[in-house]
Amino acid sequence: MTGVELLAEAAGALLDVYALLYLFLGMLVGLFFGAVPGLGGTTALVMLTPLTFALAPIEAIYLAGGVMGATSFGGSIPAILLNVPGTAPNYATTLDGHPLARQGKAGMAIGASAAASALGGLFGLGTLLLVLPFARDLVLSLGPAEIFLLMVLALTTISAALPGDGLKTLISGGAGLMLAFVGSDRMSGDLRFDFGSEYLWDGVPLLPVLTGIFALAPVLVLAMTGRPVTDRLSGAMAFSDIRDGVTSVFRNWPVLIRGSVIGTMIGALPGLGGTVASIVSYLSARRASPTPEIFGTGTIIGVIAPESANNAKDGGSLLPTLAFGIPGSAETSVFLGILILHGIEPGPLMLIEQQGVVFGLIAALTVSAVGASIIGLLFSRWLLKVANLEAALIAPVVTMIALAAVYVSSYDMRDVAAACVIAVAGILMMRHGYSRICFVVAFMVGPDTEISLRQTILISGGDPLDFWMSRPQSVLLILLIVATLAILLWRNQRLGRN
Amino acid sequence: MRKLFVSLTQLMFAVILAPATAMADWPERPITFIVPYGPGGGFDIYVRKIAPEMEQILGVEVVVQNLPGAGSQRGATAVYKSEPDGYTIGIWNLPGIALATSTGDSRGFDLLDVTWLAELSTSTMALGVAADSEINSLSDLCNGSSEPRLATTGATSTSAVATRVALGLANCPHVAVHGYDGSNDAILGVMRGDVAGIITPADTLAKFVRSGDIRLVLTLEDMASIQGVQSSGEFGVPGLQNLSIRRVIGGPPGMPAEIANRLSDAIVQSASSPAVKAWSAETGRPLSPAGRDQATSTVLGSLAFLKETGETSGSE
Repeated sequence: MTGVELLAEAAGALLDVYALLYLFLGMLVGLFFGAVPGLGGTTALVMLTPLTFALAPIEAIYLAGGVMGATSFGGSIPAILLNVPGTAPNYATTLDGHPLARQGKAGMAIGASAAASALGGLFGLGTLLLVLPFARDLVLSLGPAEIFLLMVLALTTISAALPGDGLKTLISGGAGLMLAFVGSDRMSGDLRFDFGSEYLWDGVPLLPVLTGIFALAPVLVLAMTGRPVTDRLSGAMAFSDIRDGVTSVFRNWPVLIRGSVIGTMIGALPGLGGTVASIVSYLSARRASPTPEIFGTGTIIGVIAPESANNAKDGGSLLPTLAFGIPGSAETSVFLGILILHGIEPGPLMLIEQQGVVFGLIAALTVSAVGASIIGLLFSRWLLKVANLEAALIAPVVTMIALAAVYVSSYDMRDVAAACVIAVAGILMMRHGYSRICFVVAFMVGPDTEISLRQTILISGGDPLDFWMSRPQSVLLILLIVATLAILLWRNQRLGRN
Repeated sequence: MRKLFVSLTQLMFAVILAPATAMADWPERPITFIVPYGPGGGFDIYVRKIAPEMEQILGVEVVVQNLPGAGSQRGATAVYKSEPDGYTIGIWNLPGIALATSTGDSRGFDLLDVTWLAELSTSTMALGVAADSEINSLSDLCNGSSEPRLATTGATSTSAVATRVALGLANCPHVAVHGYDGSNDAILGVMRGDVAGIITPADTLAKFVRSGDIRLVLTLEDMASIQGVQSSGEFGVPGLQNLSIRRVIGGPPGMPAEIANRLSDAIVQSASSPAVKAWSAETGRPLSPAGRDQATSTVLGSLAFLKETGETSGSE
């Protein structure tokens, strides 16, 4: 049977009452866990795992697929309404989503997020279906040499996209890299910059950094200015607002396509996931825009770009998962655990021996990507009641929710303290014009960049340049990096002339 | 006076009987089962598979709690420092945890004091190479034109130490390429040709052997257990079965023997249940449940071997 036939069969199986019930239940759980900051899809799957024991394997897959397809959109709702992302990948959505809400356009932002999530998710899964026959070769062609070049490409893309003082951007990136190198060195096992604390052995955890930089710092800066913390949010949401949001996605289709391609590609790289995908997509949209200055003030493109990438990455991250049983994210790691508990061993034979599982999951994710957006929009009228909160309540509420989210993710108060320290750094960065985005992305890609370079040096016998030049896929990536740098220089020269 | 005597006698009986009553009532509330790694991994899966069976036997909820961090030391410390009342137990990775403790001073626990309850499984380590590799034996690997490269996840991982110890004892100079993101990613490194081979659990390699991507050339054990694959004992390097990964369950020091025995029985019974056995057969995950004596002996054997090979100073 071909992939399309198998998918059609899997879609047919979904018409079963119980299949739909488990899928719907998964979507509701996914939306809820996505929308409550700090919970997210991984927690939802862990909590559902014991319940799946009573289900047949395929029913467990429908339930898990429903959750996995719905959390991203769920997470965008508090990102837009409260400036606190439900899940880490929704951080980029706060940058323009929340300013839109403060202008009374929350409905439009949620409508755009729903449509971009659904379409981005469909794009990612469609791409997955197309490349599935070549998944094995594709995954095997990306070794440490290419991972390093891809990381450099990501950093180059970001620096090319950022406006403002080049030196301050560089310093921000350098600070992010320095923070990334804290903890145990995976290559040698040596501890670096741990200050004798066991807490820092695994490095500075991601969530406190993201929360401190993107959630706490802006709220505290606003609070310190003495002005009202935020404008009064508009509680009314007309159907026309949502419709405008949805149609804006179709009007800005190049942004949607670019975001979906970036999401799918970054999703396929184990370890990076949705957070980097959505930030890179956001910055690429800003770079391509003729009016980059409106980003951050409440443009709908700033919602479409990260949300499409965030959901498209699900399709990409399933490539290494389905081809070799390598989880592309924490969520897929738990999903693989559920499969093993049901007697299905993920590995190189899964695509051949467990086609029912593979296509059942793809069908469930497809329905969930679209279904969750529709359900989310139906409930959004009630969700928007949160926008009726008095403005003065927002700052303490946001601070409390953000810190609670950090705590429940690890049950470690030191993470809460770390978020507060990082928030102070974030405030200083905002006041003195340093790039928070460059800092965070450098922090996230730092470890993989370092490890893959050192692995390449070891594998190549100390001559990485020759090694790169002998691999066509590496040469292609080097050309892309050079092209990005050339565009950056050309833009700078043009700006200088103007 | 008589009243005082009666009161004192009552107090004495109360003191003597109190623990016995507490033990008789045990368990009366949920038991926390700590996994020192994130959800979805090998150790987590074993615990989640036996937890429902334990609930049926003990009649209380068994709550699985993931406490990852610091090379499994965060979870291990949480178990070690909990009350020895039988309501907190954890799964331990040997020899991984013994190695992890040797990397820093703030270990916060002594493996010799842990109340060892049961052993769940043993995964024998094996050397795997790409299916189309020209390496057919350990001699081929060691006597090539250049020093062979082997993939591992990190310098302090069990796989890295097994590589270092096994190839060190076989007088085989090599280069370890650390930093792969998990065993499967390291195996991909072998398939891609980044490295010549990998030493990792044979059951992890099994699915790649079955798909025709990886070939086993050596198992780290005295007697060969896989047909057609030489063992390290046959090669002339004995004792390497001590590098096998053991999934051992233990609780905090000082746990009353009666509670420890009941927990041990419940764990062994759960791991021996038809459902868990069928799951083990389906997925190829090894299972060899054993009680307290075997678990303690495994820990002592593992520590002694590592001390002998200079990998750790032991748990003093």
